[in-house]
Amino acid sequence: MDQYPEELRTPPMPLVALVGMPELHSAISMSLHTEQLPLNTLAIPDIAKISIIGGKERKAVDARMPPPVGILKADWLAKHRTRSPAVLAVLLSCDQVYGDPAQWLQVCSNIDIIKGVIRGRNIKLVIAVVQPSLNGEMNEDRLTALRKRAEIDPKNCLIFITHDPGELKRSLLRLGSIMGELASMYYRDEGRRVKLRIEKKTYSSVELSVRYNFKVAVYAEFRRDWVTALKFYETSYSLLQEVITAHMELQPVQRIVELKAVAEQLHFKISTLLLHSGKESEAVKWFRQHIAWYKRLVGPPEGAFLHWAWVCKQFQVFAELLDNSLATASPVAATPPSPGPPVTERELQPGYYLQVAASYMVLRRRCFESALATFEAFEEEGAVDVLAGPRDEIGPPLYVGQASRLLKRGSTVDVQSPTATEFMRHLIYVEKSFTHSHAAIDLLTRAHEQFKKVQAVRMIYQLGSEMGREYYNAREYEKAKRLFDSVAGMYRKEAWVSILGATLGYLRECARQLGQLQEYVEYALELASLPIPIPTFGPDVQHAVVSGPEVGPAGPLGQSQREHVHKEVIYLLQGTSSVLPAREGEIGMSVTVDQPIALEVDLVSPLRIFLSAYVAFHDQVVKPGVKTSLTLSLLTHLPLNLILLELEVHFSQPECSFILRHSTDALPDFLRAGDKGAPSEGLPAAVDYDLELEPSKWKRITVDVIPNHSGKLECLAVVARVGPYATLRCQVEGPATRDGILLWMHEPGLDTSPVKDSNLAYFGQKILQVEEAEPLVEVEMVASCPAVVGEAFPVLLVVTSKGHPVRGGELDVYLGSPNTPLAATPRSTSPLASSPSGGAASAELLRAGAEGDEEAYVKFIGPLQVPSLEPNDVWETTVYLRWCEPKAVNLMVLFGYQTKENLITDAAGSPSPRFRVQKSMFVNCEEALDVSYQYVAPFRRDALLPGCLLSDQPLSGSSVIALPLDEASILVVTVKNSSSLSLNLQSINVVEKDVEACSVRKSGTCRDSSGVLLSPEEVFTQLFYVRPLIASSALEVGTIEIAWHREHSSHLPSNVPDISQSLVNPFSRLISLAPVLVELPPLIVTFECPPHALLGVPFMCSMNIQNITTNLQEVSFSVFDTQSFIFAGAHSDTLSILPNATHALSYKLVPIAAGMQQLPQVRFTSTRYNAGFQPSSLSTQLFVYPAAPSVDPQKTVSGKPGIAVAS
Amino acid sequence: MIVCVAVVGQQNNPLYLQSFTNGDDALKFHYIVHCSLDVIDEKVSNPKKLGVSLNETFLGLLYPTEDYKVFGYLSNTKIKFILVTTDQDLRDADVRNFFRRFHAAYVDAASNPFHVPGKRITSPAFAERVSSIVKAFGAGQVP
Repeated sequence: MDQYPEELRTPPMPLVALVGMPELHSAISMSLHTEQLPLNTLAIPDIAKISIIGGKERKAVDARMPPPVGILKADWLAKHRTRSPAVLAVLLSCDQVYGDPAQWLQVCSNIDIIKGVIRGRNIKLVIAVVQPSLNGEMNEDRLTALRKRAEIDPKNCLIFITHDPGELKRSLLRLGSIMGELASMYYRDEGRRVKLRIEKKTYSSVELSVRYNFKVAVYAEFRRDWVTALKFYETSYSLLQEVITAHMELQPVQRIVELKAVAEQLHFKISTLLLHSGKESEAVKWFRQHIAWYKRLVGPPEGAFLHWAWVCKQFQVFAELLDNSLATASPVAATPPSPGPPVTERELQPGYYLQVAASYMVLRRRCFESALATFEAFEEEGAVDVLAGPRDEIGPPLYVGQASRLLKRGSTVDVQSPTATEFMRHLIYVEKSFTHSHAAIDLLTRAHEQFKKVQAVRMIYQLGSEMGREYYNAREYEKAKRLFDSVAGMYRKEAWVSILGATLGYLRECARQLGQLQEYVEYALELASLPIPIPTFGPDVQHAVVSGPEVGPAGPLGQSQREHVHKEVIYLLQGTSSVLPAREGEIGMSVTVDQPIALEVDLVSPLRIFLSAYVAFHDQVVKPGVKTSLTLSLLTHLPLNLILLELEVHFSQPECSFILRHSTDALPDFLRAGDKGAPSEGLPAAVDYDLELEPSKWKRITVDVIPNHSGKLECLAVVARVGPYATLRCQVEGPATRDGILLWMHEPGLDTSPVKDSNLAYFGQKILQVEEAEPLVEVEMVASCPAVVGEAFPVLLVVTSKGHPVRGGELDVYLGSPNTPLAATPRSTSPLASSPSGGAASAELLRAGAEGDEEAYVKFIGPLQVPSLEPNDVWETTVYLRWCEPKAVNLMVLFGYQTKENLITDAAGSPSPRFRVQKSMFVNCEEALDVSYQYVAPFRRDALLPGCLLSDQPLSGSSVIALPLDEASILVVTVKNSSSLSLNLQSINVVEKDVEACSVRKSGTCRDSSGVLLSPEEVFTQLFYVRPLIASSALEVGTIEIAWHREHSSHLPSNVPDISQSLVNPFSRLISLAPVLVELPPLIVTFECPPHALLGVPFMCSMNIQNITTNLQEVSFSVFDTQSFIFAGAHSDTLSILPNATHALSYKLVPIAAGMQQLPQVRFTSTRYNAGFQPSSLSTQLFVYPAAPSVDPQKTVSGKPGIAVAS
Repeated sequence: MIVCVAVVGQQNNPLYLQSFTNGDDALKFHYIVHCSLDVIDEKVSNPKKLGVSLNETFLGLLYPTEDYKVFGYLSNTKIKFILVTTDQDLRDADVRNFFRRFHAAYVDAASNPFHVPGKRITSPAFAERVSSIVKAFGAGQVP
């Protein structure tokens, strides 16, 4: 819009002129400019220069006149705005007017001159007599004379007061209103005059009608009569269309240019007026018609670029007008619907017009390029662009849209105008210096900004493409590439393959021009892999392509183009061809040893369309060293087959990585012969694989993998070698996580899974769990069960290496209850010592004490360190268990080790794995000895113990044992082997607590040190004589001490530790004797009786009652008769026994029954203690022989002292 | 004259695009159809402002380009039907009718058990039917 002259862009303002009194001009100008109807002022300082406002004499229009050489005068509008005033104000000083006659005469002549100048132009005249104040000199006669002389109305002659500010203001306002009124009258008169001319139609050319209507409209605009102005502009515009005849192609270029320039000017005025009045829709519709009408007027082909430049300008200007109007517009009142198609939102966007303008700019460039080619082909040698000659030889055009004049050639317009050839030559030279691309980019950038406001994303991307194309045309490949790169993302996302194909074509070409080999290859590969839709309908379906001016350097998109691109890039990668050089004289890019290609395809790379790889392990978990299968699936969408020379497969455990090689026989010659490129890191290679990928068909390869280390084995990537120096590293995915390639996802056809097995397809992983290796170490626990309570039960732990060297071995030994699962670790099972419950608490773990201190066993917790072992070495240790109660326990060991030293890590940086072996053993424990004891009184000698009697009472508890003071009692200790083992009983002793209080004597002779062998369930009894020496209510007699050990059993396996051998000392078992009650017995009853009797032979037996006290004791007795005997003696009586005396009760008995017979029992009762006692019935039994035995009873009696009373 | 018709999927991916011009300018229509999705988005997200009722499938004139007019139609399954025409004055009823038939043709094509919804339509029968609808529209034989 800035290309238009000022007078066209802004609404016209009435022009008035001031002459005389130049010192007042600025103040008056200012005042007029701020009038309600602002007036422009042309200040003429001197009356001598008044002629500049004068014009040529107006001629009457005549039908016989030849048609004018132009439609609108080029400077007419400017003239009316700047040089041709509507009103002329003559400022006269009062001194001049009222002065001497000479001055008055001067004034009169000046008026005459002015009248002469404005005559015929209808310019209104105002005379202002300037005087300092109202009170100055006044001469009415002179004023009247002045009015008459100037032929003006009295109101147009005013007094202008300068020195009084209030009066000055008033004067200025008065002058302004008079001049505004007169200006308005002037323009109305002028308008009427021209209108009359139109109505009279005194001329024949339509051009003049156009001109006159235009003039009327401009005059109306001066008056701010917009409606009239618009009406006449529209008339003028439509009349112009009549000028344009049907055969515009035959018209000279200059003529067409002129017509369009006029149309442009008229349309500009119309659009401006419409938009200013808030009629956007009207304006859009008018613009639509304007373009529709004039777009056809291309004119001669050599000038086509001019036409498109013109159309482009229309759009651009309209966009700017619209933008301005939208920026300033007040909320538009709903305009009544007008006929014609409705206006869409887009058409009210300036961006739309800018975008179209850009497209015409492109068209302009294309047309110009062809016009230039033609021009240069036919251009004469040494032809000069005459229109670009010196400034003084070139005149401005007389009419709107015409060429400049060559002033040298003559004085008439006909000869001054250049010839068609000269005109075109000039325009082509001018156009040559025009940077179309930048102009187009500028338009597109502005459109981009406009569309950003409405968030039309796709439109913005399209504009990006267009800008990219323009940059490409301007050979600014860097910028073009950046733009195309950014837009390609959008088209990839929405899978608009054709557009993406075109974009990639440009990108590939940009990369070529910039010498970026890697990018070139990437774009080419992606381009070749695109699913370019093949039309399914049409006359030539097979060879159908997507074409158009936008397809770019890659050519029309289609199958053949894909194949072409494929071959080009694959040959390039294989090193057999090179890319065309960007410029002549250069060497094209090629893939060589110095310029290898290493492409990276990650999971989001667009190149996955070219090659995508999936892997699935057939197993999820394997042991190290165990072979597992891996299915590798490769897919390419290239249009033709692709041969991979090698395929490296990389794993997270580098030693698993390997290479697959294509079978050499199947390779084409040029690949086989060529050098194989860089060797691949010495990975194990497998040859003779078929690595030829077919388009869109899975290549599934199943290989075996042997993981060596435990942990995770992940397939990371495959590296495909396409050519000797071209590799492509492709990250792999598991088939389960596959989301497909978006661009191909919308393609018809079955989407096959990377792996055939549907299980694998759903659950196949690219990660394999490798379990820990099977430990090659054996741990044995040897023990001879069962154990017995109290002993230190040895368990031999043997660690044998079966192939692994053992480093940093730790043997964790711990106990659990029998139901503890094996997997429980020592950490989760609390150490038995602190475990309050469970079987483990009943036993403790011991180890042999330090060297030289063999008797001691020490408790231990925690792991045992195992020294380093070489394969097949054996290490053993013994631990001991000691129970305090018979309970079964689970002895568990956990052996952990490494095969390498802890500090050494493997190549991957991970520490060497730790192997674990766990074993457990169930150990039963039994009680070794069942020990019981009892006190027995001496044979047939009973003491009356009142305490003992008391204890018979139910309240006092039954456990109290009473012993008579200073009397020997017998302690019977019975030891029973309750275990299932043979035990050797070394000794049984009673250790007195206090020798003064109680003396204990062991009965029997001393045995040898080998002890007594006790078989299971065998009982051994030992007697002791206990004589309490002091009376006590709770006498601690002492402790029974039993020493024993296991008897060696010869039938055990040889590797079982021989416990009896290992035990140097027998184990002691201590049993405390319960405290006893010791009393002085008041009475002792001794029963005397022969050892046996003969049936029918009388014999005597007596009871001696001994009073030990110093008191008289009364004892009553009664005899319970038995049937086996007849007896003679007192049956019942009460005796008095003197202190320290003994009373004997004698009876004569005759046995009347044979066999073991119960003697009559005597019950004594001490009156003093009110306590009775009766000798036990067992001690009062007697064997009665039926006849005299053959043995000499006397002998037996003599051998009696087996039982002796300790006295 | 109809110069291009297109079916665009739910993810704004082209399902079917056929131009009916003789010149080598098919790619232009790809751009035009793609850009028209902007206007559809606009209309769908802001139905009140643009005077589109909620249940109306016919979206009317989307936008004019320099040479064409683009009409749109949105099915309930968010499949977009686009029509690019050179006719400057078209009756809405005619365009609606065209879209109705076009939609019916698509429904039939999509009902083909071998067609996977969301994939490009390659059925020749569909193409032929669309072509005949387009021809009928050009000839003014709107039933």
